[in-house]
Formats: sequence, structure tokens, C-alpha cells
Amino acid sequence: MKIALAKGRLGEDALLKFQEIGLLKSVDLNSRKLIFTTKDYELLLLKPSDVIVYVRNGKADLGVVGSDVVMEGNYGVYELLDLKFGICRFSIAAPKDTDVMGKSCLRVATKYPNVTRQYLNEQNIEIIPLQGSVELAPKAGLSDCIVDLVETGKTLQANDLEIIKDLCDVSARLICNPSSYRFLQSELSDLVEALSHD
Amino acid sequence: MTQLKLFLEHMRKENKERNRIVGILEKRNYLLFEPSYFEDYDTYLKCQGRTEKNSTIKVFKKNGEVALLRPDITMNIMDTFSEMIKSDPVRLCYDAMVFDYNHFHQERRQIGAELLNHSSFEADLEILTMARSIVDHEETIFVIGHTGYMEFLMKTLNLNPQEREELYQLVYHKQKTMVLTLLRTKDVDDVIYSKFQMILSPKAYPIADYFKDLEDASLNLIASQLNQIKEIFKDQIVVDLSLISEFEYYEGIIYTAYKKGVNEPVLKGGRYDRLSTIYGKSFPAVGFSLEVDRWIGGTLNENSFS
Repeated sequence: MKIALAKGRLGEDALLKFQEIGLLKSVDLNSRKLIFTTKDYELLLLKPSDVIVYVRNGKADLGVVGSDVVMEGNYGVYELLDLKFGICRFSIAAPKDTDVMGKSCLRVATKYPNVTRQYLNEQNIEIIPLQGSVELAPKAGLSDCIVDLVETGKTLQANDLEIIKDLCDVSARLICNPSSYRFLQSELSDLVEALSHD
Repeated sequence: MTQLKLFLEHMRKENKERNRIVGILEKRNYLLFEPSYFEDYDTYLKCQGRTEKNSTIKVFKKNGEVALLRPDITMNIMDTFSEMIKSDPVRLCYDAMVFDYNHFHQERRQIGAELLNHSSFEADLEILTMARSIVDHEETIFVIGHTGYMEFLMKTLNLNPQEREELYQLVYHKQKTMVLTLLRTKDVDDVIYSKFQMILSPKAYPIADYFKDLEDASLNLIASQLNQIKEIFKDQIVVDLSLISEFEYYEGIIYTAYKKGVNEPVLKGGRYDRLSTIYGKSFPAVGFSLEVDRWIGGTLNENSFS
């Protein structure tokens, strides 16, 4: 079975989770290798945004991604389990002491236009798609508010923003592609059970 | 091997397989039908269901009206035969290209069979048996579901149309946590919640477990049909009650087949009695279609997963 994990914290936490149930024990993330082969598994270490691409295209059977990636419309993969780490939330944030929600047309800067549209569907909004440093947009006058992932809220605070509304929770998810779901059904069922009981 | 030789080899392989499949269908008295290249745009809009919007290839007729290059053969058959159907069942098959922007190639070949005006469970079994035999291969998995099961679960939830569609989409894409999160906002009954957990789990439960503690007359028939199918096909099929068709007109037994290494189904089928009402008629129908390129293993320059 091929498993795709992201380099960085999400992948490290995922590997720990697998190792807790006795899998991928020999994998050492400090070794700079990108492929690890054990008796039953092959582990691919990828850029976080590439994990879903490898899984969706059948080059990995399984992967671990944040649910934000799937929520943004990256369907084509099935979710097997909420791994309950990498927990954060989608929130709307705006400069402190401003009443942005009362605006007739709200300009929202975000890396997640689909999630934003879904949760603000009753509001007249203009979406300003950005690739990063979203917190800067209200200060620069580019937007009235932002929709982004918030973990501790410290980045918002440092940029004079405050949360107006939390939209939904986000966490790490074990995903697979439809073909693996069918052809590895029994193995995946056992794996999900082991990870759920841990 | 040169590119030309590879291409000719692929053509030979495809022709041989097309002949084999159409041969099976014709031997069982399914008459080969040549569909029209065009389809009425407004009619298609009424039946497009969960398919990708704006994926069709539009053409303009002489009078300025919009038509579609056929994205599907079933609707084409209904358009041709709905006026003529009276009392006898009609058995048709096809081997034709369909057109849309959804896939790597805008033209794909489908081979399929339709049994019109036959409502009995025997008709389901006749089509199902043919479909199963066509993709009878050790690297194929045949998955059976029943639309009535999800319909029943949905009925218990008291959802507005938007929530209903959202939930259908999430189940269709098997997004378990998002489904359960949505259900938790609806004060859902514990038994119903547990059934959603079961159908979205990779674990294969015995058929009876999916129906345990659920009381509804319609479920008895669904369970009985699934049990009969399981009895006939045994380990040749797996049951998945979260299976949903992308077309809303399917109702009853539905199925898909997967081939190892191909991420999308190679075959889809089931009962679609509701479709004739779009054509102003009311007669039952059941059928399947095979995606020939996916089944044969992808065309030369295309990875199977593209």
C-alpha cells in the first residue's frame, strides 16, 4: 500500500499516528529521503498541496491532508477517517472595532474562495483570491475582511485583526482514491479500525 | 515498437473487444441502435442531475436553437423510442461515441444495453447478469446499491432542498466527517446516524445489518432484492448502500464496476423508470453503459488516471 504524507508538521503527526499502531516504524523523517519502503507499505513524502494530487491520480492509495483541502472543492478522493489532529478552524476576521458585516457588498480576501462562497452565500460579497499573507489585505485596503484558517489567533492579533465569526472546524483526514477504496477494502477497513481505536 | 505499430495494436485490441461485447448483447436479442449525434438542450437540462454543469458541447441549429452533441446515449434512446413504446418490452444496445468536456478526451466510446418497458425484478437481473458477464475479470470489482435506501434515510431527516442536495453531494463524494457534521446539526435519530456511519465506512457489513432497527415497508423489498442478488452473484459483487447515481432519474437497483488501476468506474447502470416522464410518457426502463476506453486500459497517450 502506498501512503502519501506531507513534509512538515501534518506529515510528522500523521507518521506518529501510524507508528503508534505499529506501522512505518523504520521511517526516519530526518534522513532527507523522500521514499521509504517497508514490508507492506511505501511512504512518499510530498509537498503538502501535492498529497491530494498523488492520491487522486492513483499514485498513492492513501494520504493525509487537512480537511480544508477537500472542502475547497478537491473532490475525487474519499474520506476514511477524521484523524483529530492538525485542528484549526475557518474564520472570518476583520480589523478591530469595525462593523464590516453590515456592509452592502463585502470584499473578502481569501485563499479559499469556494469555502468562502459556501459559508457567506446569503451575503453580497466580492471575493479577492490571494495565495498567501491574507492578513495583510484589510490593512492594505484590498479587502474589508478575510476568511482564513485560524489555529491560535496570534497571527490575526499581530495584524490587528479580530475574529468576527467561526465558520467550521478543520482537521487532518485520512483519504484514499475510489479505486483503492474498492480494491483494498479489507485492508483499509482494518487500518481505519486500528487508527480509530488508538 | 513504433508509434504507428502501437496505435494499430491498440485499434485491433479495441475492435476485438467491441466485437466481443456487442456480440454478447446481440446474442441475447438486444438490437444494435445507431443514436442521433444531437440531443435537445432543454430536455438534457431537466435530467442532468449531479453531472458537471457546463460540461456539454453545444452546437447551434439552423434556426438558432441550441442543441448538444450527445453527452449520453440513454436520453437519445428515450427521445427516439418514448413515442413508440406501447405494451411490449424493447431490447436495445449501442456502441457509440459520447461527447463532453468532463474528461481528458472530449470523445469517449460507450457500449451499453437498455431494456425498455419491463418493470419486473427479472429485467433488473437480466441486465445485471449481462453487465456482470461483460466485465467478468479478476481485476474488476462490481458494486451494487439501491437508491431506495438513501431515499429512506433522507426522508427521515426533514431537510430543505438545498440541504438535501448538499448531503447527497457529500455522500456521493464519500466525505464522511462532513456528512456526520451536517447530520449533527439536524438532531438526527441515533439509528439513522449509525446507518450513515455504516454506509460511509470501508467495512463490509452483512446486508441485514444495514436494515436492522429500521422500520419501513419499502425497505423490506430493497433488502429482499439485495439478498437475492447477493445469493446469485455471491463474492462476485460487493454491496455499497452509499452508492448514488450522478443522474437523479435512477431509482432502484444501481451498480458500478471498477477496474484495478482505473480511478473512475468502467461501467454504470441500473433502473431509471422516472426518465420517461421527462418525455411525457411513463414506462419502466433498466440499462447499463460501459466506458470502453477505461475498460480497455486507456488510449495510447493517456494514463488511465487522467
